[in-house]
Amino acid sequence: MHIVVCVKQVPDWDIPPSSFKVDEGAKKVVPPPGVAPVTSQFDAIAAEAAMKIKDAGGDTKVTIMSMGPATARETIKQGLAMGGDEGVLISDDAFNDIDSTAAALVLATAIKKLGDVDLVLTGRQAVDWDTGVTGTLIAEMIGGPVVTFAKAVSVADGKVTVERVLPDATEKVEATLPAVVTVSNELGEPRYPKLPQIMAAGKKQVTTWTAADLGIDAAALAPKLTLEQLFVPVVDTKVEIIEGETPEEQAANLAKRMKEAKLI
Amino acid sequence: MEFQISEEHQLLRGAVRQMLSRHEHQKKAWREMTHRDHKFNYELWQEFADIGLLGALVPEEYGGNNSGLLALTLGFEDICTMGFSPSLMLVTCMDTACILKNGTEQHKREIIPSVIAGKTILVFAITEPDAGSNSFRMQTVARREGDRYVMNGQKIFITGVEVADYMLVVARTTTREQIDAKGLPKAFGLSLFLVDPKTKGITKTPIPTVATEGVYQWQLFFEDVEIPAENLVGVEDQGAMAMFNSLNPERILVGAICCGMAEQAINMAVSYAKERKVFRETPIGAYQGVQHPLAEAKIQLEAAKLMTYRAAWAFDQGMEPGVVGSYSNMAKLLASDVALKAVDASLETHGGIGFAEETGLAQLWNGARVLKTAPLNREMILNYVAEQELGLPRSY
Repeated sequence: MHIVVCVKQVPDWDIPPSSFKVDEGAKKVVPPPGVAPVTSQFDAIAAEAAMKIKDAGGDTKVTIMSMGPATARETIKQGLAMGGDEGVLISDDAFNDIDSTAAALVLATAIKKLGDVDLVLTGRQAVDWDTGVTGTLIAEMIGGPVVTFAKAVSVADGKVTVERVLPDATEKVEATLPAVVTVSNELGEPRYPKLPQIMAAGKKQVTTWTAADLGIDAAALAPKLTLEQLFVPVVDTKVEIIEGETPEEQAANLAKRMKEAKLI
Repeated sequence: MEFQISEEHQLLRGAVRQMLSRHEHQKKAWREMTHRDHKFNYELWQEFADIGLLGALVPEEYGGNNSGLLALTLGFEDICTMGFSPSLMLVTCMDTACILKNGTEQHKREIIPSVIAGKTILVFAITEPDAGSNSFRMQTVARREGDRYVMNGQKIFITGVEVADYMLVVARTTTREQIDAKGLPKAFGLSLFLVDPKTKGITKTPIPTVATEGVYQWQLFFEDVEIPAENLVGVEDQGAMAMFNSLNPERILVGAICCGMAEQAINMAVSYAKERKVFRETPIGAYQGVQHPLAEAKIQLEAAKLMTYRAAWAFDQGMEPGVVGSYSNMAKLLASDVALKAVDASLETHGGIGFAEETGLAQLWNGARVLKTAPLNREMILNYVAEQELGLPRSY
């Protein structure tokens, strides 16, 4: 069993809102100074799903794959410290600022280059742009089924069994391998690596591939999505005190005011 | 010259922060438990063990991960930056380093794996009422009688005895009178012993103090305490060097604690200064009177971090203990100075709310202040640097 986990390095989301800045002219997020980027949380949970499969036994190899700048190696190393076996960093200036479709093309091409992949795990969405389509697009491109929003993933007899999160229920589905599964936060918190595993991760190999290694030319990466505008919305908060002599009167006045404001 | 923190160290920092963030909701209750009730935080101790911090200085053959003092230093710093406390890890790790360097194979096989697993806590007993900064004045004596030593004397300000499984006790195996009579060097005659605090003949009295988290300070009386001879750590009478060498990691880790405290205080101040408005809609952080003390503390903190990291790196490289000693002492002095400065600037930024217990800043002040004096006061460090680094004569 060969599992590939796709992980993305993103700006740290755990910063005060006042530290979040965008360059509206360039339509880019300005990385907060002095704050190191982190692994997208859903991708770390996808890595956790892979480690759970590995823990369950059997001959399982986990490859941690990331497309991004040279610093994305840190995100790969984190996956290796969690228990991954090998890393693949896909890094090339041609891949800067590409859209989800192009990112899926790059990742799918790398997965095909690995050759023997049974299962691809991704986060349900990256926590920077939240498009949530890359995993599905990878499945389309490698020609396998996709199961989204997984809260539990197990593998047996050439099939992957997934418990899917629905708005008010859980759905259990099976898919034949090779397949792609996107993992949701309901799977549980990712394990954090411990020092012995961190030291071991230092010895694990990370292979770097460029656009040329993957045989991808720039034309194939042309965006299918146009970003029209990027801005931080202004949130206007007003406080209104609802009067009333008794709690019942206060509640009635609150309901009346909410109806007036068309909130209910 | 390489200023980049390695990938492994980055991963460690991420892991420590990830682990602690899962306990963020317990932080307030833990602070009350440790600061107000002086109760030891066993849950957090086990987390430190599970993530591997207690095995950082231990080679793999004894069950450790051998990640080194720099890794431990970064871990300590982040623990304090996030507002938690490494507690007795400081002395336990320092004792661990000492046992690994000087102990018998039996000590290493029997005690160290249990320390790494979080099951055994070690503390250090050196200070005496008349032997503080000058350890050579200590009078506690361990006399060899057959297959055991018999210890008599007293110790004071010994941290965490109530939760310790072993104390690493420094005692005289040759008295000062014998040394003077034979013309032996003053460093001769000290020995290290692993002593179970529950051993018959040890009387323990807690000393109420502020700024000790989760544990008490103790006064100990030893009256004909019998210690098995195999509990001697290192060579009899030759304990001074073993002791001083293990004080280097202590200084470095104190530096890391101070850096973390300073970082925490600065972070709190910056966050508050961005939100707090006193005059119209301008946050107080826009005022240079508020900015400059914080900026100065930040600059000095960066310097303290670099010195602390260099000292830890030098220890990991196996450099001469004297060289590591200079680096460690200088780092400790600078870091403890900046911790106080940063907490003071943070209190000034917060104003009245800074003294409310809920912010934790007043407790942080106590913690930073005690580390100006302990484990070695800044005057003794300045003496050391003047003598060792500048070659100036000794006045005492």
